[in-house]
Amino acid sequence: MILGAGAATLGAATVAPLVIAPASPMIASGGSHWVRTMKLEDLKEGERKRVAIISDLHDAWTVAKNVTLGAVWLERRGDDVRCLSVTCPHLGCAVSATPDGFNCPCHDSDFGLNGERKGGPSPRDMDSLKTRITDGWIEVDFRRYRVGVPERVEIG
Amino acid sequence: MRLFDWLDDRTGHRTWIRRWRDYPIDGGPAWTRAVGASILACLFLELTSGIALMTAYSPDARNAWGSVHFIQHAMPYGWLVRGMHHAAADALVVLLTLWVLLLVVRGGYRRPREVAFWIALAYLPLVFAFNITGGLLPFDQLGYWARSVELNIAAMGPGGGNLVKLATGTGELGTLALTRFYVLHVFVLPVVVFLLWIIRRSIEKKHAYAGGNARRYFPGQFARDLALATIVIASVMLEVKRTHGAPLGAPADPASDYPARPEWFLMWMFELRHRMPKALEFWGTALIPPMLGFLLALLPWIDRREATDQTGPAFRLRALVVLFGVFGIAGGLEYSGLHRDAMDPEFHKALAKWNVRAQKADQLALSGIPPEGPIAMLEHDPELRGEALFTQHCATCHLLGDLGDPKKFTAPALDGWASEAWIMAMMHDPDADLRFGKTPYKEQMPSMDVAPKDKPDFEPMSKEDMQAAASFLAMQADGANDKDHPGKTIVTERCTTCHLWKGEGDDGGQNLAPEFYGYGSFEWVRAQIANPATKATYREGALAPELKGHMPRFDDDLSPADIDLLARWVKARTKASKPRQ
Repeated sequence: MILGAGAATLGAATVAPLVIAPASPMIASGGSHWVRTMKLEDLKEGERKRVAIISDLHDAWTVAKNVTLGAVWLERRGDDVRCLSVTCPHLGCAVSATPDGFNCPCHDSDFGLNGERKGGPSPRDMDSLKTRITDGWIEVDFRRYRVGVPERVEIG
Repeated sequence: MRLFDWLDDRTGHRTWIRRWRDYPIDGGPAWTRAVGASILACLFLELTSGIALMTAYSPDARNAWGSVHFIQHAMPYGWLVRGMHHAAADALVVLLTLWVLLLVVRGGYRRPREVAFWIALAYLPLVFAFNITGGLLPFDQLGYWARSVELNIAAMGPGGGNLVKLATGTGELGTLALTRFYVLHVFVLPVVVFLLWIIRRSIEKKHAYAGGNARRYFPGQFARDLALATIVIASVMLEVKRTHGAPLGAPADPASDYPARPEWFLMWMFELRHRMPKALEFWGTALIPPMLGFLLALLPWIDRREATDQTGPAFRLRALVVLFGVFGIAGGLEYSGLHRDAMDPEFHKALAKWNVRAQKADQLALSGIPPEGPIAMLEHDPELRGEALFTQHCATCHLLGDLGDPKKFTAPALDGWASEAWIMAMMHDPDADLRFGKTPYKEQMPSMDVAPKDKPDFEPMSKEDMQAAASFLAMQADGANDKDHPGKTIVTERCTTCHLWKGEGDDGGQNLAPEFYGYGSFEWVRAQIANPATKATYREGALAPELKGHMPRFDDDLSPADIDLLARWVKARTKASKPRQ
């Protein structure tokens, strides 16, 4: 009995390093999401433009300044800008623009011009992101959402 | 032999050899029993080549691609070692599938060998795990996007999110994920495979059947083992020679639009997912493979006879039919998936784009990769950066090559711009859609040889004069600006009615037509991009507010270095292309 408990304790103590360090979740980086993209005057009415989201990338112990984190589709509507994340809500590939909307090259999800789900396996519409105009620049509230689920759940 | 006597006395090694040699083979030597040895040979090749790769590989998001590129291109025989590692991994998928199939056919699952059979089954997901973890390590587009999709699939299952966090550290495919996949690939999985092998070997020994029809392992079965393993390893080598090593795609770019595809042996699942109704997508595709595995694991209870029972082949036949049915369906799906991609022009276009980028990255990396990594290396390449800048800032209005939208452009097509042929076309029909036709400058420049409607007494310029002027103007791009030339007087005296030559001209004071001195040269293009209204190219009149849709200035948005780069790129590209018709 005592020997058994002793062996179990020893076992637990020697296995513990494997479990406690790698299995604990790392803290994801958060912070301000507003990212400056392009000038409003350079975006033509009705044109869909894929722009890169350039900001700081935290990866493990490194931080890279001004690197491309992702991309969004912008479309100007008067003084407003509609912004859709390029990340397909199905499994996370990047969607391309088609004449009548968007299409994902991986599993063929189809979306309309407003990002609404039209066909294919995507469980929800494309994720729209908030935009604002500051000093003539379009700024995007860049967020990422879990893919593969019908509801929008933010990551990080 | 006193040394070996001594050694045998201390270790008993002769007994080991004898046991190995005399191991009873039930029913005598057979080719169908030789697959296991080939698997062992491939695993050993994976171990040796893997160790060799580990001497140069770096599991870090910014170094991984570069270290694999180094192995492929700089390390002596690195391509060979990496190719063998890759080809033997493919061979293992085939051999293990075949091995499990043969076990089922031979009744290798029967009492009392159930546990040994389960271990054999467990090797299948293990070999997939090797492939999946190993596929990420080069950190190229192929591996990155395939893993990205697979992790997103995994995250859809119950508890999947935590599993993904555990596998990647953060949930993202970055440096921590690479390190964890690396640890799994080079340590955890090999240890598990080795332990399972030891256990299975002990179980086999325990139940070794030494009936009347058993033969010794050596030499009959050994010869067959050796022969098949030699064929397998030779095929691996031939495959490496044929493909010159494993492929290395463009560096992983999380912000790109790569059309993700799984490894070849998972393509049938990709296709299954494609064909599944949306409501069933996850459970249909995530459950079918483990269900099949589970069914196989239950075989000892479906066929409850003992291993020694030789009665009736009927069950085995039925099992075989079912298995071939399953493989047939998987094969059909596999073919259907590959066929659909092969027929899809969009997929080919996307792949071609990434192949070009992979080649470019390959070539740039030969002269070294900066510490910021291969993506930064590509971004700073003048050719790619020029194209990116043009796409972002110029191709919204202009056309050049395959950049710009031929349906929506509103500025001149720049193919062959400032060449003799382009200038001739411009002098003849400046208001064509491909030139000024869609711009606010439409009807600002007259044709030199077509009479306007309201001027019946128009005197067209002679073909020779037009040719001479075009030829002289085309020379401006290359710096031969002032050379004596038959066209010089035409340009400097007749064209300057509206145009400028070294700042002089425009007799009518229209304040619109551009400078011709150095037309098409780097300096001219640079000035035009930075600010079209400095008199170096056009003047303030060209940017007048009433000319809505005129060319904007870019010196506010782009750094001087970027403008230099873009100008150089535009000049090179326009020069290398022919005017559109």
